[in-house]
Amino acid sequence: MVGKWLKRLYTILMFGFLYAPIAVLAIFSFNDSKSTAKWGGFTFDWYKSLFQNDLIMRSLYYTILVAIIASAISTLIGTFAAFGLYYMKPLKQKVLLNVNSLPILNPDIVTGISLMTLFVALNIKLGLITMILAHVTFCIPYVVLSVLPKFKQMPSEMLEAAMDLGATPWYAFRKVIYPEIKPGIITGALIAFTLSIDDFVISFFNTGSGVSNLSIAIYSMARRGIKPEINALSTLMFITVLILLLILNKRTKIEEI
Amino acid sequence: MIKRLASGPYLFWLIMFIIVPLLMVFGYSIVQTDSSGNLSVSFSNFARAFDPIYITVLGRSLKIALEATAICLLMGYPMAMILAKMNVKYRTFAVMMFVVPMWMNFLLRTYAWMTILGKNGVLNGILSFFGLPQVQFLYSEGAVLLGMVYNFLPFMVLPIYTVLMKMDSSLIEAAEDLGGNKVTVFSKVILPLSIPGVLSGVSMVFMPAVSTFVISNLLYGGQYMLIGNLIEQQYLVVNDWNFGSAVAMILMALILISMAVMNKVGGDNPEDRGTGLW
Amino acid sequence: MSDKIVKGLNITKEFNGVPVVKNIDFWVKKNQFLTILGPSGCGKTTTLRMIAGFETPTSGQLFFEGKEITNVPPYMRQINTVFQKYALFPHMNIYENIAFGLRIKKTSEKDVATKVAKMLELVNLSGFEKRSVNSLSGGQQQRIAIARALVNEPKVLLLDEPLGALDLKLRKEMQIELKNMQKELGITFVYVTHDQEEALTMSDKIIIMNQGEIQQIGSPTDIYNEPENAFVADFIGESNIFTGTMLEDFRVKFCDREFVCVDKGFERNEMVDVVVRPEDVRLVPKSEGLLTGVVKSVVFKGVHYEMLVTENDREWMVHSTTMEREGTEVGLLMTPDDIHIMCKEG
Repeated sequence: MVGKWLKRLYTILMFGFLYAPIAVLAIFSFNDSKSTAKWGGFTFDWYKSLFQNDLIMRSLYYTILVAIIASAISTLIGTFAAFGLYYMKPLKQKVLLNVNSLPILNPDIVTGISLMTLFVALNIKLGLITMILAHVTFCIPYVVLSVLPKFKQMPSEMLEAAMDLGATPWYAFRKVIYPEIKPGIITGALIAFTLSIDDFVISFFNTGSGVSNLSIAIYSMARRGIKPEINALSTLMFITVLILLLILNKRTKIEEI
Repeated sequence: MIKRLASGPYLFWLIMFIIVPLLMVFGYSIVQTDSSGNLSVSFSNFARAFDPIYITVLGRSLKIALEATAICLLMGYPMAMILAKMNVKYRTFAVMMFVVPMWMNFLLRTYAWMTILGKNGVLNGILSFFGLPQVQFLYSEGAVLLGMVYNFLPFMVLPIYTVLMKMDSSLIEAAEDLGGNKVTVFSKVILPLSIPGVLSGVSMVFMPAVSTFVISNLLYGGQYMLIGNLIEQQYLVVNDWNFGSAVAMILMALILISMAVMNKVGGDNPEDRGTGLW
Repeated sequence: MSDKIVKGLNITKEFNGVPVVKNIDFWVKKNQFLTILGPSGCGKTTTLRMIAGFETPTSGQLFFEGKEITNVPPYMRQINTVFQKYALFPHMNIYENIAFGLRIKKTSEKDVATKVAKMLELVNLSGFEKRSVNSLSGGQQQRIAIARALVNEPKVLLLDEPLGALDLKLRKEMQIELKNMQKELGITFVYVTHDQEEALTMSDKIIIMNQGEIQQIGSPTDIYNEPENAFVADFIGESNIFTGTMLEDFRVKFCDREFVCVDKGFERNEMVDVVVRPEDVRLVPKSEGLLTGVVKSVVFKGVHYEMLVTENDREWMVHSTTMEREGTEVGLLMTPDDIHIMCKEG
């Protein structure tokens, strides 16, 4: 009996710890005062100034643009890579998968500076293009790792069975293999998209003047101290994430049934 | 033929954007430019990294990352157990609520603590409300540690939760059937079987903690030098890429070695890592 | 010549330089039920996969109805395969699985429907159109796999251990059904199995392979009664195999004793393998036997007793409908035509 209450208390404390900072941001996003120490009345002003903040709006645009392009490219390359890897000789596959896991295991900062070194050496001006290239680089490994298991779960000889029945390899890929690995592709694309949206470190080293994503914008603003617009931004982002996850959760539940 | 074509772009990408850049960083780290601009191969960059100032930085990074990992483990393991044993009705929701903050931008999560801990922050507001003196919470080592624990705690809980969920309940029943009390069942069955989850949690917390420069920059300010700050400064401020590369190589070696050791110890399958997220 | 629908000439297949199939020649006649039989790793599946087109021979040529098909991709061959693990497409229902090949050939929807229905009737699964693959039992999946292949009206149907995953009773039923289907439809079957009993009951002709080489080609009766070497004798049914010496025509020495036999044409004192089937050995009172031994173990096998008899330091397997007690001293008796002499392998 005591154990049960202890568990509840612990759960409440943990969730409190997780959500307190977010709650504080949300509350102070409506605070009519620059200070976070005292309450100066309710206001929507920070939301207004958030939408008028040119830096944040531009960063939002770049964040979404980069995420869409990078996740599309990495999903395409990663899916075909998984297809190739699945039919590869075990040793070669193992070597490639080890290289594949380098960007996952390596600290972001190492991946960031190594790509920056490459772009500078190739004389590519740091900016939108380099940021997209960098994002594709760290997304591909995750796509490969989410698609490859789908190939491995696929009943063996699927491709051969289709070809045996007269399907050309391309037809077999579209009609037989693609439907089997589709969940993995979707997962991979979602991971790539979220990673890209969330990335700070690698983008930080691989972007140039005028091009920044939300993370970089927040970082440069936060370094200069507390900005109530950021509170407003956090609240909006939290609500977006919450709604998205609730939808996702509903959907997976329906699929499970 | 088609199978080979499919992985072509991927191979190109691996070589061009993963292997070549890392080799270039390695190249930078073993090269030195003398005063007349001549390049020579030298290990002086590495030697410099073992200068007492930088050893302190390395030691501090390791210490604070290990502390953060230990705290996350101590806080996270009980949470993972509670989640795993929770009634199915609430479990999905509870796990989801645990994941939500993780999906928030990392910078925002760190920034939130600036608002709380700052000189004019929430905590000091509360203190002054009770007429207590102001305390400088922000810009301390404790603030950095707190920021790490806050940011990385879910990375510890989820892998352990996943392993506990997958655990065959008949094993626990068997242990109870054989006369094990709660403590024995936990220490002899549950804990050993959850080691893979613990190991992947440990690496998922330790790795970003030891290499971060964001948390320390925001919650400590410019002076607090962790190994991540050192690399960043060498690359973006001091512009000494050779030394920065050497430090990056050391960091990379440190992490890859500790991963390898952990994989050896746990026989852990890297594909399991983070599956709880999806 | 024209009745040889599939022919392989000097076929060799290597994987990473390791030969799996070594320079074999074979042919399949039209409407024949041919079985490739051998232990696992003997190259039988590889041979089948080369006929299907999934593997290309390292050297040698394959012909289909007289035309070379060595390098023709599988989707352009009028040959279909029934896979060991069925390989049904899990995201399609039964109807779509069977219709797969027809749709590639752009068959009209009306024809697809008729043909699928006809096939389902053939495999006794009418009414299963809308079912999902996973809702079917192993035996049912097997039938669908056969229907999916047969609906394309292949000239040759390849079957790769299709009954391996089924239980004994179902396997026996399917053996009969498959054989009937083959007779009715008049399609050539090439069947791969490691189950010698299956091969003997179903086949018109058997190819026995071991370590990438063909050991014997012949009808089931030929192979059972006149195995060409000790491997075949051992693989087809259990056998007692001893090393012996051919003293002269019709006289062989093995187990430290001379025997009269019906074989001739060997060199004098040539080393040979001597094969005696367990059912050909009779247990008689000690004094009447050609050899004597002690019964070591007795196992009841349903129709007969299987006994191991120790004779000196050798072991004989004996099948008999009457039982001797363990530890009994017995005599072993066999007639000259029960003793099969074959050349030493290699």
